[in-house]
Amino acid sequence: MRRRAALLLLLLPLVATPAGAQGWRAWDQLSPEEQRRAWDNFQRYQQLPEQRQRMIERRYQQFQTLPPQEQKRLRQNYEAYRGLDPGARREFTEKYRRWKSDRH
Amino acid sequence: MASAGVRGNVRGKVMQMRTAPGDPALAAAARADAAARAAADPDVALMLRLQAGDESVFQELFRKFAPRVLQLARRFVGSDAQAEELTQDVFVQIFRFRNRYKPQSRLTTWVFTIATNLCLNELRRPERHLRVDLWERRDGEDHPEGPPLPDPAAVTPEEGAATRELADQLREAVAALPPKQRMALLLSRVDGLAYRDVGEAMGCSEGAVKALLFRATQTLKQSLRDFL
Amino acid sequence: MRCGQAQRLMTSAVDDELGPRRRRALDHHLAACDACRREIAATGTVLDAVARLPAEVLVSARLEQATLRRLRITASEGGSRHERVPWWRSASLPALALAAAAVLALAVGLRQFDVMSPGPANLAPGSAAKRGGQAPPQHRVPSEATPARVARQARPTVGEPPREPPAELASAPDLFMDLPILRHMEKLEHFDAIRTTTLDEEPGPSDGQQERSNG
Repeated sequence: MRRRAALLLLLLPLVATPAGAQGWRAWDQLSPEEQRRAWDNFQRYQQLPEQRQRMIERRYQQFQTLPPQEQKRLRQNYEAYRGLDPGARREFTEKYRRWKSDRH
Repeated sequence: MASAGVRGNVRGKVMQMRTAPGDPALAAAARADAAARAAADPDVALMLRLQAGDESVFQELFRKFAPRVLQLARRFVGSDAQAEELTQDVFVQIFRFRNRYKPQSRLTTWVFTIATNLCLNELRRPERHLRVDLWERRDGEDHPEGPPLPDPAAVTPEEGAATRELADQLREAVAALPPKQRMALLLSRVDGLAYRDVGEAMGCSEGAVKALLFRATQTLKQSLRDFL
Repeated sequence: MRCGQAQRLMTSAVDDELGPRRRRALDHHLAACDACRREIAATGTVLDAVARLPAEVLVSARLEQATLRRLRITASEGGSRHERVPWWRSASLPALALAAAAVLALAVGLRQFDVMSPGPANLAPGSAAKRGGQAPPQHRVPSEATPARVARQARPTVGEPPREPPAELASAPDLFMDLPILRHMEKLEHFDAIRTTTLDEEPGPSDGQQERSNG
């Protein structure tokens, strides 16, 4: 039983491989955890103004056409971003604003 | 012609049907509305068939929109091969997002929203920052923009010489425009989308579209001063 | 109306996108200004020339067939919502090989290591009660809270997904899985550049000109 659980754990990342590596996945191909996450996010998305929804759709289309290595890089950066403590996150946000204003 | 008869024919603003997931009453109303629109508009009927799973629609959709999508893509990416790949990407996205299409939107605008997004995104990649004269004649190619379709308004050879020179100069000038100005100009003037629809396709306000077009036109007038 | 303002309206006027009030104001100005009349004529000439650029190009049969083939593959990959696709049918060959190798390594490794099965993050009894006894509608609070049930209740979820997800969700589940990444996409694309941006008063050393926005 324990071995079966461990096996499942080990194989789960292969099932839940990021879309960029395996291509676009259907609902049935998501793990239960991924389905829950998608469902939660879907409900949040439904509450967004239409303009914002369209912006996210646009970004998704762009994301889909990125090479797998680039998608992986963004996911890794997201993990790093998520791992920032509140102080570091605030500093990053400030730097982002500065970086944006320097670009325009 | 794509640009004829479309200008000024602005559909109503896309209505967002904010339904709670699974709200049956509103879903029924939406279906009835879609059916009515499908009866009036063949494009809507096409998309509803696709949403219902009718794969025979693929070819119809492709033949209807690919000539314009491919032409647009050729004006933004560095090679015919990339333009063709981008065109394929557009149709794949049309399929994947088929359930996002709402019958209240013009299908043309919706397709061009996807095409615009992918074209402009191609240019954001670092490897695309090389300056490429996209419309330079390729070896053995008579028509730098690909073999054109028969033009019912073809001019006489005498009239054509001056027109061709202006056209050549114009193509270079348009190719040199910043991407967003170029996109706004092509969508509105070549593909005949109204400003509101251009804004929808580009994800910006109508005011922003006007500003882009103003700057694009000013630049073109400067480049083509000798012909004006 | 001044000439500068008139010029800013010319493109919209030629495109017939001006409102009636502004159109009247522009016409009034044009009636009295030769330079602007020449300018709007030039605007019209340029925009008419642009409109004559071909909107379409011939599409080869090869491209049509390739696209239709790709669409059919995409459609079959998506499959029916009712049909469950086993994970090994959707995995690529390298992924399958990796899976096989992983199974083998696991079988060897399990002889030596005691593998702990995952437990719920919060097993504290009464955690549901600490939240004021409010349970999501789909989860009724049982009289005896087993660890699994308590764990489910402790998770801050909106609820379990429906068996038949809405069409929007089913057609692009990855969009919603990756929603946080999409929301922060610009930050993530330029993550390193942003992290090394200085916040001093003096602008940091730059390599060249500032980028100008596109259009």
